[in-house]
Amino acid sequence: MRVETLNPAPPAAPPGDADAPRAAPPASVDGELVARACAGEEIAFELLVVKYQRRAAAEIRRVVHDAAIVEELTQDAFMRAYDGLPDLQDRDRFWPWLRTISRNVASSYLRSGQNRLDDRPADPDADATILAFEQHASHGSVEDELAARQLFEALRRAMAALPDRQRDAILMREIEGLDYRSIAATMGLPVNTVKSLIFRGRDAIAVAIRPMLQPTRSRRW
Amino acid sequence: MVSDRTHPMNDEILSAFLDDELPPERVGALLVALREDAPGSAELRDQLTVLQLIKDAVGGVEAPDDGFTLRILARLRAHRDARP
Repeated sequence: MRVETLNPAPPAAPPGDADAPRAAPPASVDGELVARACAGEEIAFELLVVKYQRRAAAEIRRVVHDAAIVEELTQDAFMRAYDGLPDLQDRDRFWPWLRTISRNVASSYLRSGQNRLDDRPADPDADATILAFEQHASHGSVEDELAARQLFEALRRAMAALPDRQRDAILMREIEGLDYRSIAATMGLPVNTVKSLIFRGRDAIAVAIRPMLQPTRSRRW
Repeated sequence: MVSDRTHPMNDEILSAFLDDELPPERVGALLVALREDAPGSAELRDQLTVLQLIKDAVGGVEAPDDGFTLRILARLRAHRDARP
């Protein structure tokens, strides 16, 4: 078991625009990333992209079906978020804000008349998982499609093979959206135990799928 | 079974970070460790992206990163550079 070696962090950078109305000090990771991005720390916004690019794309895929257009609109959404970041009042709610931007970008696209190449009917109830996979598959080569299928099959197998408590904790986090404290209350465990269960479960999955990800390392952040 | 990574910024910190459960005052140290010129940052970035992929997949969005993130960031840099 590795020992945490994180040193005390320096104080957060001050907000960038002294004239703008200021929100409360960040109470979350996302709030801290937004504050630092507003102060000019570029890597902070890059991390917001890493965290939310798939979810933003999935929101857009609910109404737009062409993979190339989804990608372009996802980029548009992040550009708008970047430009609008100083105006975000509740910095701890970055994702709900970005989700709204993503939906608006998609809706604007549909209204703009630029959607002649994307004339399949929108299906707001469509399953995001299936759509995400189809979009990826249609955008890549046959080899990429096969590799993606194998990757996610391996991921599901690794998830199924986890000890029950690790799997339950991860599912409560990702499917039910519960925070660590709520998961701990549900499972009757200390919060630190839940934190450990989740990280160990993810780590085991990462070990299982990592060999399949090596060929594409250069394509990731 | 745990990964054999040796970076001192361990996976428990990355996992808590991605879950929005890391105390905000500790985010700065992680950002320093993730900078391109920081020792071991490539390894750390890779683990972070893999953990995020797992999070997204379990949450219902199965999409491998085929350069999607890098293309967003490239356009962002161009956008930023074009600003007056």
